Amino acid sequence: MLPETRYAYAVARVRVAELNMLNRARLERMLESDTVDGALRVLHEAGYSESGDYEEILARETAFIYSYLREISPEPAMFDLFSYRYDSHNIKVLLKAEFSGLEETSMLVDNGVFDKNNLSIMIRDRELGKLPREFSDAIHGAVDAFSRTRDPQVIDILIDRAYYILFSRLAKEAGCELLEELAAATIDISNLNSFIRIKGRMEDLDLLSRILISGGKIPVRRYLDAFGADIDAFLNEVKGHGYNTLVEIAIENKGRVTEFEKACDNFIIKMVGKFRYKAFGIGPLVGYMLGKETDIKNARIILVGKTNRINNDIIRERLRDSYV
Amino acid sequence: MARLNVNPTRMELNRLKKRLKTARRGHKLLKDKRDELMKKFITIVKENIKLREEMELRVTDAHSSFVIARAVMHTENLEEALMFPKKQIGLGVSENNIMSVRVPVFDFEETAENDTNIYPYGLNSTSGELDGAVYNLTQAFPVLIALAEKEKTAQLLAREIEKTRRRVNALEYIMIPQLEETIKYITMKLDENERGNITRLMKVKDMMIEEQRQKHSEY
Repeated sequence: MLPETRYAYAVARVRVAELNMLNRARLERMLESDTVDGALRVLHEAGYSESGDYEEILARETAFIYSYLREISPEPAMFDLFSYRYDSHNIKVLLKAEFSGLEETSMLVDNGVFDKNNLSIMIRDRELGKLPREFSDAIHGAVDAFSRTRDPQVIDILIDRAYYILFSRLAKEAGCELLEELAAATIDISNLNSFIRIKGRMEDLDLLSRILISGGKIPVRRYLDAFGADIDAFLNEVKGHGYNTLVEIAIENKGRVTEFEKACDNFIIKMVGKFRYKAFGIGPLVGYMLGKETDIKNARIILVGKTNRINNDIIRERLRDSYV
Repeated sequence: MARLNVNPTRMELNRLKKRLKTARRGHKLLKDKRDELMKKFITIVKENIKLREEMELRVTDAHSSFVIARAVMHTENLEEALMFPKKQIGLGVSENNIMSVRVPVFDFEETAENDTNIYPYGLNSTSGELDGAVYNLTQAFPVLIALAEKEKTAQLLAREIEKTRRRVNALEYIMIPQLEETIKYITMKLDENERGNITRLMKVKDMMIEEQRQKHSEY
């Protein structure tokens, strides 16, 4: 990784860009507008494009974040860590399309490290040499597991896991403390979330054992050992790993996922928020990126809510904390 | 009431009497059929209302949870999560006979290895809100199928009731009165002919007696 001072220019650019992010006041204005158009106007004021429906606007904004950060960052490749998430999505779509015979093109997304059309050819021809080894192993594993079980869930499980492990490895290789911390927290949160969801509805220890990802601060063994026991007891036990606020919310809401998922997103934003006022380093850039993704999520929640005339209280309940 | 355009002959009368008898029997049978169909129809409609209310509730729940899931997830992620279903569903259609109305019977079969894990997606890239939506929709599905069956049955029965009622009415208000009227007309016509005949015979007899009397007086 480059010396942190090399990021001075990028950090200054990001600081300016942060002014256009969706803060609480903007979100409130969107929420209070009576129509979708009114909410979109607030987005336009914040620099979002004006043409197309809101899905297109949000997709364009997502693409913009990545191109913008790659452009200003002295190490554009660092953002591949996050872009691989889109590749993992495309891999899942391509595999599922292959197994089900469905048309997949409309579900593929841009912003991945690999161009979606190239990726499509690579998966079709099984020429996986260019992909990170986590992905290629997972694709072989998924093809094999699917042919045995005919269960599409295995594809998602294996590819998602590969993405988290890849993220973790690349963060370690980059030697960036923030990214390593972020990787561990994302894995822990994902595991906690899976644990709560499986305990709440699916009650399937086998699924849990397949879905848990190692590499977080809470060892996988703890989840498996606690599966038969009371969920609150387990949550209390894992408090010590730095997830106190999260765990308290989970206990308070008796395993309801709405509040917990919101708390998870808020946790990550708060975590990267610590780096916001640093003058150097990749921290403010990562914070800006995750903050923008949260903005887009919030905008989507409000816009979908407005389109479907959902009560403002239900929308507000789901809005994530904003980065700025 | 218009009568039928027939020749007022005894043969025709017998024929019409036979037809009237058949029409009366048919009328009674059809009336019974209509009443029985109505009874069945009302039972089915009651079940239908109950199912529809349950279905509306469940589908509304499923729909609103889907909207929420769609709000917190990327559209592409949501579509990817649901693009390949895990459960296979078989729907067999057979027939049932209610008062000679053939109504469909749907046999709904689910083939899932694990009843609790019906979710075709992984948990890391999806929101827990989607679990609720998929669960609600799974719960709504058998109700939807049952409702479809009952609603189709009710429709078919209603059509049959309508048809039967029209037939009953046609018999009761048109066919039977018409036949009765025509029978009355033929009977009256025949009686009239009979009377005419008798009068004619009497006249002939009188004429013959008169003739005889004149012959006697000449000799």
